[in-house]
Amino acid sequence: METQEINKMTYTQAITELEEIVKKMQSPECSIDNLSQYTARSLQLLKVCKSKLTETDEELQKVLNEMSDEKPNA
Amino acid sequence: MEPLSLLEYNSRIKNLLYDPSVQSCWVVAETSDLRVSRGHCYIELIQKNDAGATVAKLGAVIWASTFAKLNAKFIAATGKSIGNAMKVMVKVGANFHEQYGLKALINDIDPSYTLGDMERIRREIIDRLTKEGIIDMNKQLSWGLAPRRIAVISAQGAAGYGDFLKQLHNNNYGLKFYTCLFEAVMQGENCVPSVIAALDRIVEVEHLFDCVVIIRGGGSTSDLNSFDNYELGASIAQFPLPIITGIGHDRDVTIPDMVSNQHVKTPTAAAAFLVQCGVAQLERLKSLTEAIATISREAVAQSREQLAYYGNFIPMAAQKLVETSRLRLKGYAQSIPLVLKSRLGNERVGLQHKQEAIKTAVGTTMERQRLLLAALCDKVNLLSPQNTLNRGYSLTMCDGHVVTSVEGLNSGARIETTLKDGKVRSVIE
Repeated sequence: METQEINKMTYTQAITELEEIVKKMQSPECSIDNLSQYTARSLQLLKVCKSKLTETDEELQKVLNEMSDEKPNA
Repeated sequence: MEPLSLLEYNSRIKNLLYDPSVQSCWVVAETSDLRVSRGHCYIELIQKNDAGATVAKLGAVIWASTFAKLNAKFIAATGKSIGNAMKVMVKVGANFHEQYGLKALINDIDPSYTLGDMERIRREIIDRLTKEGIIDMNKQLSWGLAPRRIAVISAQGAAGYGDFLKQLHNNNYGLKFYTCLFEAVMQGENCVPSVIAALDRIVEVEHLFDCVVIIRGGGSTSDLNSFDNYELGASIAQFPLPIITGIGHDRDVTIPDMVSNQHVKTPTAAAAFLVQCGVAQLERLKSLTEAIATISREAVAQSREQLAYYGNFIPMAAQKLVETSRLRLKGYAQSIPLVLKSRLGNERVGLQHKQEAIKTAVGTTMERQRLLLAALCDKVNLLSPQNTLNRGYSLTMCDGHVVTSVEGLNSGARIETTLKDGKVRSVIE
């Protein structure tokens, strides 16, 4: 999967793939070549997951601000 | 008889009401048109028949000094203020004022009667929601892994709403939440339609949210009565997003609390629940990070060990290989003469056989040729001219040619005749 696509993933999609990869990494059949590939992918996914939890989605914030009943001076 | 003045007549009525049978009586009735004015509580006590028609009605009042005490007692027992459409048991005394007419003065109330009735109503709502198969629908909705987009139904500017936002946005874990207020009246008669309207507005933009939080914005706990409502319960139960209710009731669980996906006691607790969901995900990510680090570390260590093993193994293997090859060569060296000897022996025997065969073949051929020769010799001897001469024949030659006919022989020609034992020359006449 391309890096561009990874940013479009939802948190659930990203963490599901991440857990699958970790499971594969834990498998005794996982070769060292695959392992480095998996590690690189899993680190990307971890970053995406964490950013989904802790970074602001400006676009979403704007949409919700416009929709909110809360008055600016309240 | 002199007619009475109205005042006199009313005074007679008033006096009649001093009768103990209408004083200090416990009466059960339903409340209606309740209003509080200057601390005094005015209520219409009514009685309805099974068809819902009013069959009795009496104006009643709880004077301010009594109302504060009775209402506190009532709230303490039921969690609600004395309100409309409640079944109440009140201790009344009939009082007739010449100017204001008949009023029942309420001087005590038995909250347990109302409590029982409220419980009956609640039970009926719960039974209906259960029969309709919707009571657990919202509970059965699964939460997204990290609910962060939250539609909030609350009263704007309410303390509880402020507490919720503060607790949510100032969490210690750096978790980011998005909230959007859908304002509703959270107390009083308009509460139910207002909350239902807010839910309807959220449904239209449902895709933008992970969950809904319904929080009461603080204030008195006496207005919770209106939350025990079938329509509100049904709306929450069937709502497509999971709902957290934090409408604040210490004692009972309201119908919305019963049917919502999660119910918490306070708005702050609702925020804490959401933060905890995020924290659980952060911990999950942390444990995955650790797992990845451990796997990578172990893999590197294993590879290093493997390489070290190969490092030791290769010289040993090489030495072993050399030794094996040497032994194999030695084996070959020993086996070659034996093989050669065996091979030469075989060849020698073969040659001997071939030699014998050749000898036999040569002998046979020679004998056959000898016999042929002898036969030929006999034939040659038999056919030789000498043998013919011996048998009395002669051979005449003329000018070096054999004469086989008289033709061509002219007189005077010289001929030579060979006989068995010599030649004789003659001249033809």
